[in-house]
Amino acid sequence: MGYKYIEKSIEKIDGKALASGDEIFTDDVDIDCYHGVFVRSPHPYAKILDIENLEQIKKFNGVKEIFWYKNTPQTLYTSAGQGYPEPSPYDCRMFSEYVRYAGEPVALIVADTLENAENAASSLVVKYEEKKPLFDFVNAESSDVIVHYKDGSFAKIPVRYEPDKNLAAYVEVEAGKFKENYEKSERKLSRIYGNHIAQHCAIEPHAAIAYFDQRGRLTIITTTQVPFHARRITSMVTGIDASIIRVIKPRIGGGFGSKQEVILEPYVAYAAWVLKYPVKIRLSRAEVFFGTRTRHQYQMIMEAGYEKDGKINAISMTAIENAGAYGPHSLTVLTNVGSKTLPILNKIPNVKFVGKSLYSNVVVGGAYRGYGATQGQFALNCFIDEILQELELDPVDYFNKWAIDENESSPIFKALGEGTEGVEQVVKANNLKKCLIKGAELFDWKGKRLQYKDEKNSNKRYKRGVGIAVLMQGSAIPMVDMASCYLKMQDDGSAILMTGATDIGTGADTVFAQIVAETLDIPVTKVHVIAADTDVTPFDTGAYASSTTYLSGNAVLSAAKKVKNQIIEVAAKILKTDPENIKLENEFAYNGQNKVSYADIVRYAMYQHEQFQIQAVSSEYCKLSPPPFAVHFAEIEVDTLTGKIKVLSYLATVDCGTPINIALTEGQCEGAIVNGISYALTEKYYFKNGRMLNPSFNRYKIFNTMDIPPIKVVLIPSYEETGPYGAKSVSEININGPIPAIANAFAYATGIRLYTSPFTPDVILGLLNSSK
Amino acid sequence: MSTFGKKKSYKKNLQENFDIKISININGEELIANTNATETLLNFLRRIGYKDVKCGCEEGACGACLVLLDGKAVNSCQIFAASCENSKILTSNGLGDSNNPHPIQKAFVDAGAVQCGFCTPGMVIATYDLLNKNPQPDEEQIKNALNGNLCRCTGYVKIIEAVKLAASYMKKSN
Amino acid sequence: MNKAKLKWYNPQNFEEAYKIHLNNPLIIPCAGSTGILRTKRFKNEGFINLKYCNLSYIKEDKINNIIRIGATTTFNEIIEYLKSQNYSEDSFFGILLNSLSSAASYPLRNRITIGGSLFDLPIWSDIISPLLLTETNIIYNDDKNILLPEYIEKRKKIPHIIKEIVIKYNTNIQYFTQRFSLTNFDYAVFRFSFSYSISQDFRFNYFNCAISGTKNLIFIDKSFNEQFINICLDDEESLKKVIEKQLFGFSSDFRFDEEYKEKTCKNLLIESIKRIKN
Repeated sequence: MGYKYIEKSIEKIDGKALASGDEIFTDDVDIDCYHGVFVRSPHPYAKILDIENLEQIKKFNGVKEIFWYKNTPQTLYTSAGQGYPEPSPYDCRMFSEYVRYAGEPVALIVADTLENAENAASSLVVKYEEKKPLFDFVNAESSDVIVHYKDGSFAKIPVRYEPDKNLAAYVEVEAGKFKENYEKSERKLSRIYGNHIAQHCAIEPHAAIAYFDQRGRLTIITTTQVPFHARRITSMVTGIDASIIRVIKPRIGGGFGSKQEVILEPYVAYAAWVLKYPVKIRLSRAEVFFGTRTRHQYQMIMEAGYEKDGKINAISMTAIENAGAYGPHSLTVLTNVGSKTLPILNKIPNVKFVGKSLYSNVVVGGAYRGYGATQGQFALNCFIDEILQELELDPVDYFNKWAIDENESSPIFKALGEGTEGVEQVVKANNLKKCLIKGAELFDWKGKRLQYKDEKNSNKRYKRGVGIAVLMQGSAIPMVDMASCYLKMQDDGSAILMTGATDIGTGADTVFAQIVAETLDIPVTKVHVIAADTDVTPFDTGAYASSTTYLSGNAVLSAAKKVKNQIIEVAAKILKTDPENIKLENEFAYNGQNKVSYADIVRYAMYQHEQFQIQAVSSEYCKLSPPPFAVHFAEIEVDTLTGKIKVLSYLATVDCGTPINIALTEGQCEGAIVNGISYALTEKYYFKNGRMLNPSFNRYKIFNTMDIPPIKVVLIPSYEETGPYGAKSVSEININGPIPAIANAFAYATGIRLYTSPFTPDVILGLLNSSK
Repeated sequence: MSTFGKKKSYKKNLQENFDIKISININGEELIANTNATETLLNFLRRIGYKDVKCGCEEGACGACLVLLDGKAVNSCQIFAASCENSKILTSNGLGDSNNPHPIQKAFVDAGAVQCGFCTPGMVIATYDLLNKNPQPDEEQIKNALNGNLCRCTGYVKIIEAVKLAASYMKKSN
Repeated sequence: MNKAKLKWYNPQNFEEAYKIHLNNPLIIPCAGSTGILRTKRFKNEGFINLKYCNLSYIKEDKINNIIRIGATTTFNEIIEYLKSQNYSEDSFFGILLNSLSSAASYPLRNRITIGGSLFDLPIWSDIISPLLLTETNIIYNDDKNILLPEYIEKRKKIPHIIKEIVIKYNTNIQYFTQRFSLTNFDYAVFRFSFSYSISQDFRFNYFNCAISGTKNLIFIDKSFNEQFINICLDDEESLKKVIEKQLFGFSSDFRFDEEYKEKTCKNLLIESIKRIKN
């Protein structure tokens, strides 16, 4: 398209500062403060009877206060960082009389030093009355254990919410008539899939610090993806007047959804409020594992009725979600399981989706990159692959025939929203089939399928196979999300952009600077971005739903266009011509041979004639959520002596619309893929009586440099008219590919289908041996 | 109400907890500072103001806290500050800053290897250690030298490219 | 417990160091400190910094096939030394290099010391099974020495600080080692090492196998080793028979159960032996 700053690998505007360590993360904020340390429940379900040595511990060296349910606000809320009214149940309190998972906070000890707080925390003796816990979430509705028993929990929006039956959410949509078309199909298949609980493992642990500024306003600096939601929810929970609360997001060391929660903010705010002194909490790595949020565990039931030529008449997806002890994002992740997967096979005339979210006494599920699509794609892609194996049809050919095309729609878009009705949309920008074809060619799909076709019947030690996964996601939440920004020109010709959007390491600030640079034709280095400060920047929902580039970027584009027009208007006055004759190029406005610099234009406007500040405000909400697409190809090898699966090569072809910053886009794809691969093969929560046994990087394994396979990412951009410079989104989609692609490759290599993740060596060896 | 936490008595109390004096050289600067018997080098460095050394796990597993100690890349969270008398410590900020980045830091930025940046100072130290010993490492050697640094954003692909680029930058500047 | 009351001692020679410890065994030696910080062993009364005791050295006696390594020599220092000597993969130093290189991570190997890791001897130790194939003596305190197998048993009972490790190895036999773990930077689930020599017609005339990661930390059994004598490398059936009827004895942990560990260890051991011929 011939852009100057778009579709280029522009240097990240905070890159040098991050690499040298100059930039500031929450824990780097250097002010004298008290430190808070949590005491957490060892039991999965219990009533707190008393703190036996409360008065004694209060007298410990340096202890300032001990907060627990008896001396803190008992407001019910949801910690989910979502727009108001949140589509998640209001079921948690800062401290509750009951603890519902092993790891739930029981008390917060605030002391003058971290050491003193830790010392006091380890000496606190809490008396509990243990209750029988509920772990079997699938059958939770009929259990005699009620996780939220008459505790006042309620749903803020009108959805089905029945805590007395452990039901946190329920969704049922149907397009066409599933049952009768399933019955009259020539062939039928039904399968059950189960994915596992996992942790985001952002290298920066959660932290927050609250302090009063010189005007007595409460400032919270926190590791958040949702500063505006954090402010609103903190005020509501603590009772502190929202107008004195300011939330600032500094640099964030990764979030991936774990920081799309209001976890620490109410605690630091309330403690600072009571103690009239700054208070900081930084979670330990172990606490991040069991005391923040996780990827929801699911049981997925797939059923389909089809013909032997591959035509699927009816498909049903039943998703049973393990919400954990509380329900942030329980409903919305649930709906995404269907809404970000089923539309791929839009030509299936009868589609049913049933989703249930159930409480249990385990770690709390929340937002995690992929957000339901991860779980849904495991089920859908493996299920289709199994059908295709039975029918002896090639998956690439099949999707090329049946997948959603340009200018097509799917009934699921309208039927399945996020707690409300969805939004109908026609998918305009769609290179899915190009991704399929190009990917198959680069990967030598047909060649490898031929090469490995007899592996499963061989006696080789190492068996190899190849498999694909066909993916989609969304770009922001239609009719719900809103983004706004403010842009002004300074009298040297540079621009200041203030955006509410949250760059959590994704490079959003850089992408916005590129959009302004391109629109105004000034260098990216002359665009300075101030972001995510609730006092200074206008509202933005935050970094989630893959919305930042598409929606927040649109707000930036809109403001930049307005400023561009103002520059042209003033230039026309200076050069004594009509605005239509003005051309902008490289920080100058031209009328033929006459030119004037942006600096002079701004000075003219500021000081000389009909003075005004060249500036613009914009606010965008999105009416659509144009899906990005991707196809993943995995080549794997399984060691039949140990059960270990090794990925030999991995290719992703990705259509995210225009990739505004190529290096950052590739980085999103590569990072998501590696995360997805370790999720498939090595990450796992081990529990004993609801307590996580391995809350440590030493025992919960993510990949290092030596574990990664060769990964190739090929961008095949389409042009999305409703997106800034044609962009859609890319941050989530690629994490959903590895589990199904690897499972399908494994099935090709061994003839054995995988239905439960993770695919650890012991599980694989067991399957290999029992199939002999 | 105490703005920004200015309470003198609180500061004095802190002084009492740090009763061991050590002489140490950090980023070329000779210092005499206080620590105690069990303070880790990581907490010591951060407490006296070296915030570029990050805390990710305090278990020696993530590498965000990597510093160069007497010429060797080590996890500062697994070392006692009290055992570092007369040692020479180098952190990423000692190699360069935003206005004057070290070629390794520049290479990381140029290769697109910096996303959230939390692991980057540790990666820079590991790279510095590697290139000092082996100016033209192959890919296996790069992966081995950085195998104690976890990153969840990049998938390591561009980090490995960054180290190769850093090697070429360092070669040019010699 | 008031952690700040712990004292640091900085002895200028080894004699001073071990005398402090013998005088009060609650004052513990600190070399790389990774063991102490991993287990947060702060219930002691002090730390003895071994930095100034000159225990970082590697001395080879190539004539007698002996190597002496000072207790505070780090894994990376030993690795660098071994790499510079270009030993073959199937020599003792070859498997020692392999074992040390896979332990922990690169920066941790700059701190983990051979003395510290032998004193700690966790179940995932990468160094123990290769060393058990040699005659290794642990020198401690006032030059007392104890053979490695006895050291393993008695180390928690005798107050001591290791001074030096003396390894006597064979050059006329071959060695092999392999570890199993889930990812690259991960505790070893097990590691087996074996030394062997084979006759002209590919029969074992010597076989010695040590496996770490078992229930009792190590599996090493003379009668198991003896069964290999005269078996032909090609004789998969006989090899399988010997190995499969032996119980190495692993315990189940939350990650892998004992059957999986046993089966995998056996599968890999058989496979490694089969590949010797190549």
